[in-house]
Amino acid sequence: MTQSPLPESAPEAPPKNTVNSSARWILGAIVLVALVAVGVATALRPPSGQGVRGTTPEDTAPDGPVRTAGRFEVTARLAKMPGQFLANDGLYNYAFVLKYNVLTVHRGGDQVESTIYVAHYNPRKTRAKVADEFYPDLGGNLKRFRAGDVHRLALEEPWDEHYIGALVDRYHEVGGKRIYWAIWSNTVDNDR
Amino acid sequence: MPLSSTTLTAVLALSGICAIPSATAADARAVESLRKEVSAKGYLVASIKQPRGDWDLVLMRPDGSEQRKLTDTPAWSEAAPRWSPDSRRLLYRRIKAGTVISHDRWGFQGELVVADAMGRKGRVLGKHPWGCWSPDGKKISCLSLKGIEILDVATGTVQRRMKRAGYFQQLFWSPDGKWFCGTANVGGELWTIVRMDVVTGKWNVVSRFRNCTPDWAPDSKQVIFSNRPSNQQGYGWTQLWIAPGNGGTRKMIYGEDGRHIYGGGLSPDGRYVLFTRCPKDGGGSERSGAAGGLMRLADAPIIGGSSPALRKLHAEAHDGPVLSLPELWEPHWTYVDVTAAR
Repeated sequence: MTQSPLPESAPEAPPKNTVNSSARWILGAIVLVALVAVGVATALRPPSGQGVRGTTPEDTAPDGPVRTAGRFEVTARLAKMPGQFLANDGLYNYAFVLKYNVLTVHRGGDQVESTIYVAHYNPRKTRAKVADEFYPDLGGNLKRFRAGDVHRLALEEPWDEHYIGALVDRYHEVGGKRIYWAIWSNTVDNDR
Repeated sequence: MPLSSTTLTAVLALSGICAIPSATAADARAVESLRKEVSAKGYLVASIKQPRGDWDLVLMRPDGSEQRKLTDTPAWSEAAPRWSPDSRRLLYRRIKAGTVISHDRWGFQGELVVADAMGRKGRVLGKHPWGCWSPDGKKISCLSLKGIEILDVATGTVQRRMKRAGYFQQLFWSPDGKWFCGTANVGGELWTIVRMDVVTGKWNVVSRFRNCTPDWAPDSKQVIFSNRPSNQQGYGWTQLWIAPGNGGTRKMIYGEDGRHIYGGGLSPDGRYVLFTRCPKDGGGSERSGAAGGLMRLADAPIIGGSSPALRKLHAEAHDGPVLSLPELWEPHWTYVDVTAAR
C-alpha cells in the first residue's frame, strides 16, 4: 500500500443537536425500563434446561451445555498423565484417553464407575477451540489438561459410537474398561 | 600465468556443471524409456487444484500428457476418483468448494457420486463415507460410526453391516472381494494397517506404527501404504511401502528425505507405481496437491534426492528412474481406453 502525501482530512463536525431536553428524558426512561426488564428476566431464568444443543438457555450460559450434553455428567479429578500428548499441528487429529477418579455423578447414576477412562479429542487444543467440521458439538472452558485438576464433564459411551478416528490409549492393557467420549469439558477450579 | 582463486573456482564449477549433465543424461534416457513404456497404457484420473480454488477431475495419459478436464465445477471440488473394476463408471467425492480437503479424512467429507467413466451423468449417492467399489461394481463398501456397510449401488440400500474392528479411515475392498484393508486402532497403537476377512470379520495386522493410505495390489495379496518409520532423525519423512496382506515382511518402494510420499497406487497389472511427493506432511490436499511420480515396481526400492541417511538404511536402493507427473492428488489408473465411445 502506498502512503498518501497529504494528511488525512479532519472529520466533519458533528451535526448540531436539535433534540430538546424533555425528549431526551423520555428516551432515557424507555432505555432504563428496557434494561431493568432484561435484568429481571435473566435473574428469573430457570437454573437448568433440557433439550437439543443450540435450543436451550444452557448453550449461552457460561458453563455451556455441560449439564445437558450426552447421557453422563460427572465431576472428576484427572489422575496421573499417561505420557505426553502427540503433536497436534492441525494435520493429524486424534483422541487421547485420560484416567479420572470420579467425585460426583450428576447424570448417569449407578452406571458410572469410580474410576473412568475418557477420550478427549485433540487434547493440545483448548476446549473452546476443539470443535471442527467433523466434531462440531465439542467444547468447554478447560484450557489444558493437568494431573490433579478437577473437571466437570459431559460424556457419552461407548466412545466408538461417537468418534471414528485415531485413539491414543496408553491404558490399553487395562482389560474390560469402558472408555467415555468427552463432549463438554469444564474446569471446576477456574483459577488454576 | 597462475590461475587466480576466482578463475580456479569458476573452472571447477564449470567442470562440475559439465559432469552433472552426463549423469543427468543417463537418468534422462532412463526416464524417457519409462515414459515411452507407459505413455500409451490407458489413462490416469486425478484431482487437480484449479487457480480459482476448487479441485476438478483431470484425465491424462500415464506420462501426464493429453490432459483434459472431466469436471469443471467452480462451486464443487471433485476428489479421490476411482474407476469401477470394468472401467465403465467413475466413483468420486463431491465437496463444496472452499472446504479444505483433509488428506486423511477426505472420505468423511462431501458426498459420494457415481458417473460414467468420463465423469458425465453424475448421480449423488449420499454421504456414504469411504465408498469403494466391490469387484463386480454392483456394491460399495462404506466405513462410518455405524460400522462397515455394504451398499447396493442400484437401489442405494444397505445390504449388510458389520463391526468395524478398529478401522477409522481409508477402507478399501480387495479386487478379489475377499478382504478389506484400512487404517485402524489396534491395541493402543494407532495408524495401523489392518486386513479383514469380508465374510468372517477376522482381521490381522499388516503394518504397525504410523501408517496410512493403504490400497490393494491387483493380486489382492499385497497392500501398498505410506509409512513414517521411527528410525529417522526428528519428525522424519513418510515413505511408500508394500507388505503381504497376511502381515509378512514389508519392503520400501520409494523414499526421499525432504518429501512425504503419499497417494500410493499400482497400475492395473501391478507393474508400475503411482505416488505423490509432498514437501510438507500430508498428501497436499490441504494445499494444491503434490508433484506426482511414476516408477516400475521392479525398480524398487528407489531413493530420490541425496537422502544420505535413507541410503545408509537401504544400500541396495536405486536412484530411479522416476517419471515426474504434474501436481495432483489421489491418482487412479486404468488400462482401458475410457475416451472411446462404449
